[in-house]
Amino acid sequence: MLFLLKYLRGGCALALVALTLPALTEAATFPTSLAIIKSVGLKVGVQVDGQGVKSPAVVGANTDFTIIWSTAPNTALGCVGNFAEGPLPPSGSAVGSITASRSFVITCYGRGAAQTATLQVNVGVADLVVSSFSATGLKSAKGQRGSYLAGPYTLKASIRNAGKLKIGVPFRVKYLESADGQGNWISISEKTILAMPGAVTITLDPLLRQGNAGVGARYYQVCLDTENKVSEAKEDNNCSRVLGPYSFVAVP
Amino acid sequence: MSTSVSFFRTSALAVAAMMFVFPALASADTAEDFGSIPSSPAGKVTLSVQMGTAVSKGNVVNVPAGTPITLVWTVPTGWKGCWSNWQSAAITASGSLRGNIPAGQARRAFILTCFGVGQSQTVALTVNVVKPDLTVSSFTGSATAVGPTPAVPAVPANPNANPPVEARRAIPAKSNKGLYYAGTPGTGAASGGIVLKATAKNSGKTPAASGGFVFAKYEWAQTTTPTKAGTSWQLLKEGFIDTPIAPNKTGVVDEYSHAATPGGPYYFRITLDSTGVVNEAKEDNNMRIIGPYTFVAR
Repeated sequence: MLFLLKYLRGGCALALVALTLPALTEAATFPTSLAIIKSVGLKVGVQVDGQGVKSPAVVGANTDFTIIWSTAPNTALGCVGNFAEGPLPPSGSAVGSITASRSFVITCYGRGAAQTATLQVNVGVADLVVSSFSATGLKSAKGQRGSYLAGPYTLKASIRNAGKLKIGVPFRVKYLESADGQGNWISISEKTILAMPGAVTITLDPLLRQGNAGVGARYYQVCLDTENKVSEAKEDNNCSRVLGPYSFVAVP
Repeated sequence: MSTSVSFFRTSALAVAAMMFVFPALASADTAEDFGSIPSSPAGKVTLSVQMGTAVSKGNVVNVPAGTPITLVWTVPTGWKGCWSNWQSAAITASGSLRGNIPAGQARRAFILTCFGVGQSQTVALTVNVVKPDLTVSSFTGSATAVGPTPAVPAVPANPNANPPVEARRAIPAKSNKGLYYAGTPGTGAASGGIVLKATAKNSGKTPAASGGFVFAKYEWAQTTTPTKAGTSWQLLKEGFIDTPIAPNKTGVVDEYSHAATPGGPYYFRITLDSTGVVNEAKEDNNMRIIGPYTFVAR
């Protein structure tokens, strides 16, 4: 029994030696070199509502967007990123949201090369404003301040998304008319804007009006997002200044 | 209850297995807030070859043929892993691997690409399989040359002399080139023969060592047209070379004193590594022939 114990101890010692001194065991032959790649072609982009966004991308806070990455075929074995735990496939996408601007880093690797791409995604907001609003074609009646000769005139307006975030939801734009410029505004023309990139100005279709003599004064205003569909940085700057009063007299 | 638990367990295991096998597929394309994984710190990937206690420097290593090497690599802390050209599976941490370069392969490149979040580095190490190359640096035969026969001036006829002198023609000096005195090498007046000396140079990139003695042999042949292979060479002596010979260094071959009998012409040949124990880059440059030597009695 004692001998067996010693034998077993000896076996353990041998195993320990073999474990700690692997170099003493016979060396195997290195296998044939595996194929390597020279580079990993990596592309990364952002999609919001299924559409690509120019870099640097601007997204809304807590609004889902998609990070899409792809590598050249047969180059990368996988990727790691700072936005997901664990390995990522060589090409794929991930959906999520952010509350503050950040960079997305992805490193895709192969046997012999790797590539890192960084994508800055900023949290932005939209802000609709009426950048210009005017009436043209009015002919002043001599000696009568605020009165114009009866005839056609045109209301022109342009609107701007003063924020950097693209507006992806449809919103309505209205030309409004009022008799006193204080209230009782009536929509005289409406238009739906389907989408509007950030920092972009759109000129609205001119609105032709007819000034008739003997009719009371008129006031005009343009208001945006009248149904409050767009989340904006400022919600109290969606209407233009008030034009008017416009009164008309008969052409002499 | 147990059925539902079992079902739940089975389902959970299946989902877990799916996430394990396809973690990326499981995490991608799902609506969730993006994670915020710290970028891996900057670091340096190293790949070197260890032979014994020596560790290679640089990206080119000369390794003697047939010598096992140990590849040693380090992966910076916080990096995710590596891919190499020597094993199909991913490498997950610093480590080492011992192995041989396959026989007949003169060069092997080892390439390692390591990566982390925002970090990657590829390192390459070329292992040149090098061999020694023994060449004859010098091979000399020290023999006592027969000096030139001096010229004899002409003698005019002189019939009036007593006794009368007949005219003799002048005899020009004779070089006796290639003639040496036979005998036994030494310092005495009757010494002769030849002392053969040679040095071997290692023109290769690794020491010429066999693990034992490296032999060299002196031979001779009586011929007028010696060739390295086609002549019937006769062994004079087989001795040792001072080894190991470091690259670009020389080693002395045991000298041999040959007691020569009259005759010739003789040629002498030195053959390094005559027993073929040194695995050399070139095996056909181990010989040199000197001569001719014709030995004459004093």
